[in-house]
Amino acid sequence: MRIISLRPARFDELGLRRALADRMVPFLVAAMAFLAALAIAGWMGAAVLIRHWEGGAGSILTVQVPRAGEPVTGGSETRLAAVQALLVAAPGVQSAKALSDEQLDALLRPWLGADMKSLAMPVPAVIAVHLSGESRDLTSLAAQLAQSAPGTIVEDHAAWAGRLGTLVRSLQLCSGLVLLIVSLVTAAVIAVATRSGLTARREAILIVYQLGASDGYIARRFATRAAALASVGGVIGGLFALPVVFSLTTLAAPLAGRGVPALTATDAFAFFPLPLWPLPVILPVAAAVIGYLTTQITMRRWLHRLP
Amino acid sequence: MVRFESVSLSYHGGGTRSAALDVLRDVNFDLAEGSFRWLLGASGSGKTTLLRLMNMSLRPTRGEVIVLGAQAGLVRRSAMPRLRRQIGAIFQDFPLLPHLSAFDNVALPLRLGGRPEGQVRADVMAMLRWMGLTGKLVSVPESLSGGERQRVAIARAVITRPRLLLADEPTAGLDTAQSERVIHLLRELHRLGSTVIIATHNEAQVERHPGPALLLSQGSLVEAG
Repeated sequence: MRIISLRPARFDELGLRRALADRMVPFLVAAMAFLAALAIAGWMGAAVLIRHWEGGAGSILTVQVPRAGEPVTGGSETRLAAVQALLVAAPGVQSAKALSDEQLDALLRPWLGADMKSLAMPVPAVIAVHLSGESRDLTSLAAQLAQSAPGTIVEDHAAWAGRLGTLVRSLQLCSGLVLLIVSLVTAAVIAVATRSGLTARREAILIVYQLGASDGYIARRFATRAAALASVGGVIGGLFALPVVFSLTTLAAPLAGRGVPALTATDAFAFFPLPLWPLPVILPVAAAVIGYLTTQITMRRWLHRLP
Repeated sequence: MVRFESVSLSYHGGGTRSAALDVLRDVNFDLAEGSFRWLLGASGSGKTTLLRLMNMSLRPTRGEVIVLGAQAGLVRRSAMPRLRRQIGAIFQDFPLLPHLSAFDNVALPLRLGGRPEGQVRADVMAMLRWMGLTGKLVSVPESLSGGERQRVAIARAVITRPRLLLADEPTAGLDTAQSERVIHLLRELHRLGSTVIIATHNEAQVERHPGPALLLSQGSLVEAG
């Protein structure tokens, strides 16, 4: 007599291994997971840029002092020294350092050429001021500086950093919307696959139902299968997305104040932002959760119509 | 155990003006636990509908159907699976799961009821042996003959020793020897305490195994055993 090689753990009384398409769902979910990975990377990248710009450029002032070497009216110190002293004493100023001639040369070389000293045009001294982030009263500070050294100009970087921040936040919002749409499409794909599996296995479901299987049992069998297929899609999508996300991160690095990574494997791994590493795990888990919940809801709604 | 109180069931045609078709009319009876009944009547008299009402897969249009202490339509949904597991049903189409072997088809109710796998194997083997299907354990329904499929369906219905067993023409299409074997099995189940109702129009069979009967005629119960 032939020995029955039945293993209950693999018992597939509803025939789901054949009913729920094992190619279509992972493929479509993989595509969605890929898009989701890009959206998540975009969202995180935008967050990094905002943090960098608001903490860096947003807290820097540039002060230009014309005729910096001349003495102030009614005093012996130079206009540059007077302005610098006022800046250092002002509340909320962390540091105020005048750029050296070399630094100025480097700054102006792209516009004025290498031989800047031969030009007759007077170049103002530039002071880079770092603010501590406390409340700042730039109008009053600018007035004070102008009174001490007339013609002094205060340039606040916070304004354009703020505008860039708004732009990047809009991009972040778009990433969030893309993520939401991708999640909804994934749920729709799984719902359609479940309905198709349900049609294919209607008779089997009715038999099992009449034999005493609960709604929860049948829904769970479908949901577990759908979750498994969706998670496979999530893994595939996540793995395909990693190199793309890595390339985008590399391109965006200078904007976030980081250098371009050396093209060795170790450097590349070290460079990849920490929050993005769990993507190949998060995406399959998220896909599985969406798959499980969508299938549970679809199945229970259908089963509820049975007497 | 099973009580029908003024039970009627009507089907409406497709259109709104079409007349209702009365399948059962004002049926009343009460069966005690452990009873046996033949369900007799000509084709189309409502036997299958009556069994399906008892199986809770249909609801009456009017009246009350109470099975195993639960009233159809008022039972909590969460209580239905347990109730269904106490009812064994054999219907004429003998539906089996096409992708499962004969063994797995028969084992299904036991597994759904959470029976340990060791007991499942022993019980299913014994049942299939009784049904003369020992050589068909791993055969899928497609490779079984009509009679073999029928016996697998019967084995599946009785494997859990249900409190209520409903059989709709269980021996139709079987040869005399197999028919007798099946009827003996159902009577044995009754002897062990199950309530058994067998629908048939085989008068010779009823004469060989005399017992109380419910007689239906054009949807009305004309004799309640």
